Amino acid sequence: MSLQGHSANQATKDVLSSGAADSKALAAITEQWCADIPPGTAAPLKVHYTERPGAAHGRRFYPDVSGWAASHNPYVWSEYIDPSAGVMRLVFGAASKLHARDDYPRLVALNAPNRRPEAYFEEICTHSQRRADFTDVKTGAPETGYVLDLLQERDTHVVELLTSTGDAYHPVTGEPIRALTCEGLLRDTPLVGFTREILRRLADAAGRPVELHFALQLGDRDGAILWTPRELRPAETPPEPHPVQGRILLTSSGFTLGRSRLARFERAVYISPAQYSPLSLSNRYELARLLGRLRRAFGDSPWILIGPGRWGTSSPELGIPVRFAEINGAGILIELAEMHDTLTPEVALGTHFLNDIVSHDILCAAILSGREGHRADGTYFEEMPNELARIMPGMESWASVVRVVEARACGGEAFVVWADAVQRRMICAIEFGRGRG
Amino acid sequence: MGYIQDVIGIVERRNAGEPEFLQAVREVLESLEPVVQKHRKYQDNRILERIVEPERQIIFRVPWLDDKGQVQVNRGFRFEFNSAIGPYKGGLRFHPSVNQSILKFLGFEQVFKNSLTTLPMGGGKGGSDFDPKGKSDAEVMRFCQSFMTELARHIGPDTDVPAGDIGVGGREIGYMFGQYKRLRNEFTGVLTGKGLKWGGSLIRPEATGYGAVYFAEEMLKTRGETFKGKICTVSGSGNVAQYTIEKLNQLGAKAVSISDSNGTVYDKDGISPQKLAWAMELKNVKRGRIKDYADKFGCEYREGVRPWYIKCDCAFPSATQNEISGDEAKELLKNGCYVVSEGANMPSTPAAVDLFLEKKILYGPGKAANAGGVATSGLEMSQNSMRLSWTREEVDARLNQIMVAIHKACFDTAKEYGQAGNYVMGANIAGFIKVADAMIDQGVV
Repeated sequence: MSLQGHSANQATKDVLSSGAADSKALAAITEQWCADIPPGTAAPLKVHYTERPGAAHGRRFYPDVSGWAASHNPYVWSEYIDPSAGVMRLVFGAASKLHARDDYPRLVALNAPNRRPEAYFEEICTHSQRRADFTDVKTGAPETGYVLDLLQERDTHVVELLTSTGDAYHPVTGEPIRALTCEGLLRDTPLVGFTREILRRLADAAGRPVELHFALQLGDRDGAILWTPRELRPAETPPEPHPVQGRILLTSSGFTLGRSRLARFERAVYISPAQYSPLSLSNRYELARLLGRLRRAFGDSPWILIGPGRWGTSSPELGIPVRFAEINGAGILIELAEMHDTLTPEVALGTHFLNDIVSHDILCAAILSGREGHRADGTYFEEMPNELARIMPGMESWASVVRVVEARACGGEAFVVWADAVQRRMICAIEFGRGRG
Repeated sequence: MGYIQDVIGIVERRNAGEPEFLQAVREVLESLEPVVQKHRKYQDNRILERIVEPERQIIFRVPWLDDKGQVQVNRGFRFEFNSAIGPYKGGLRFHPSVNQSILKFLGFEQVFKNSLTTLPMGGGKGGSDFDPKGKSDAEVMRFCQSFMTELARHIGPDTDVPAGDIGVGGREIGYMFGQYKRLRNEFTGVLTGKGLKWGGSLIRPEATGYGAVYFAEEMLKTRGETFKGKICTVSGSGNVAQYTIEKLNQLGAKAVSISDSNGTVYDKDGISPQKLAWAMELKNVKRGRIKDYADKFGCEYREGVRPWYIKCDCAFPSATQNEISGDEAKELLKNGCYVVSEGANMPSTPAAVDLFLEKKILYGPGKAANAGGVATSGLEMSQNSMRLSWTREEVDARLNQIMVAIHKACFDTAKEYGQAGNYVMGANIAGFIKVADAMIDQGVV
């Protein structure tokens, strides 16, 4: 199955151009590269082609780990992360959990696999995968169960590779609580180095950033870890040059977090920094709760959310202390760093709920007042008709702080957002119909 | 208000560029108007001018090596605000937003919070602009060791006893305690929040929830009532809510709700100890949604609402800030609720608080009702000083005594100032008086 040099490049291009997932060809391409990767201390890794990765554990059939990896990391939340090293997301069980909005795959920066956005183990537990998907062997139906319940049926080798403990304890038994961190898998096996190298070679061969789905079978303590490629596709890239026309309202450069995209929105919610700054502590929390009610009123229609300072901060003097559930319908989250005249503005770029932002595929951007490539046309949002009172009757007193602006009410078609994850640029404009703009 | 406004003016001139601190000073001092008007001694002794000035401010360099071997430099702070009634006591915060203004604001408030517990604890706050997020264990350890290398000169079990705060959990306390021990060659209670095996106290996770229930129990006693048979609503499903429900069960009440950010479970049969154990496993171990409780036990679940629509005698907001709006407060009262004890920080909006005070229900504000957590830090200090570890029952009994004392201080103070039953006023003033009187007794220092 081995391929060499030019033929590997051509085979990669063939896989990418075929449109459908040809995991058998992908296995052939990657198998030879595997030999170049140093083995880990816990287990070697072998490329293994199979139509249906996984194994039965009692009545449940699932792969031990399902993964998604990309050659360019759009989630640069720390100065230690090198975006060109790539990223992967891992879940225990079937791959469907990789795209679930209500759970937390393990996010791994491939040049810094041990760095996590959480400060404590308790936070790690909160942002670890809770449920895993599997197929019922008897009925063939997809089902779901708690990760920790499923792991009780597995041997300690698997538990040790996938979970860790810290200073969080069971409230009744006092036993340490386990969280699915994949720490052993990342530390003691060649998975990180292998994935990074495979992505680099695939992207080189393809001549563009790529994304890859794969599955792992962890085997027993003395056996190899079996790596099965599932699907290779080109990473989404935004159209160049950007097609945004109309009045440019927001721009950010070097301070975005999230995938590339070109997306349109009916409405934007703008929290006026000038009006937010003098609010009392209590009113800042009140505003956060109001945003939660707005989120429910908007339903499934996503919107752009723009506001001063850090979204989700626990210190309301630094931003808006929302909980993620209060803003999880937003498609774009903008932090305006211009809250105080006397303090250096700080932005968090969504890291207060990074895992949620990744799960919900939200794009975060910070706009640093006065910096080149950064612009926020606050005047536009302040002057356009405010729909708050219409959507939330009785909330008129908040109208000076909370501006709900709808594109059509402003004579436009939509708010359009273009974002390039590689350049870390974002442009937002209001698009007008023909003959305007 | 002349004296108070004069002092606020001085603080504004001296601390320009510290908006958080200025706002806190304004709010605290303005709430003290009745005290200053009634007792001339506070003005004569220049207590307000002195109490707004930290006794000592320490700012220091914290150099450390990251995993790449590169030198990183952060700034460390400790504001030793007031030691009139005991050693400085207050958390250490590691967060990139940490600066002088924020720590002074937190330290100033800590003076009164600690005083209200009736324990001998002064007030302080400290920390660093270090961000533990994204750092490896080894980096966090090297930072903590460097931070403590300087801080150790300024703290001690009888001088200043820091605790944890945002970004400082059990791991960081452990690293700092270890470094202090190495530098001083002594095993003392220099930090609180320690591990149970090396000087920590039992009942820490339980303290805030238990305390909120004990405070409510004392409020009920003022009307000759107990918890027996009372229907109670509880919001949240974290530690505070869980242990509020546990203590309510122990005292004969029936807790009928539990919630999370997605919705509320209404269990009209009551959340029994067995059901609570199941909910604890769900929330603390499996990290599931509270809706699963409703599915498991076949009770009502409402998406996106809080439990204040449920008929009850007592309410225990234990989730988050501003979770009881003015309208929700009206609904609570309409449904017969006449006791509100706040386990969360600032869960009632100003409109809700005004309504509770106007209707003269038994309303225990968070600064008094949720002081159980701070009180347990004090109990950890006591155990360390005595070289003893109390049992769960002993710590719980002492926590109860403290909450009884806090209630008495608030109740008596409000009565003294002509506002019997107003625990908000009582809490604001009681904490100040103890510190201010101690400062007068100790002369101009």
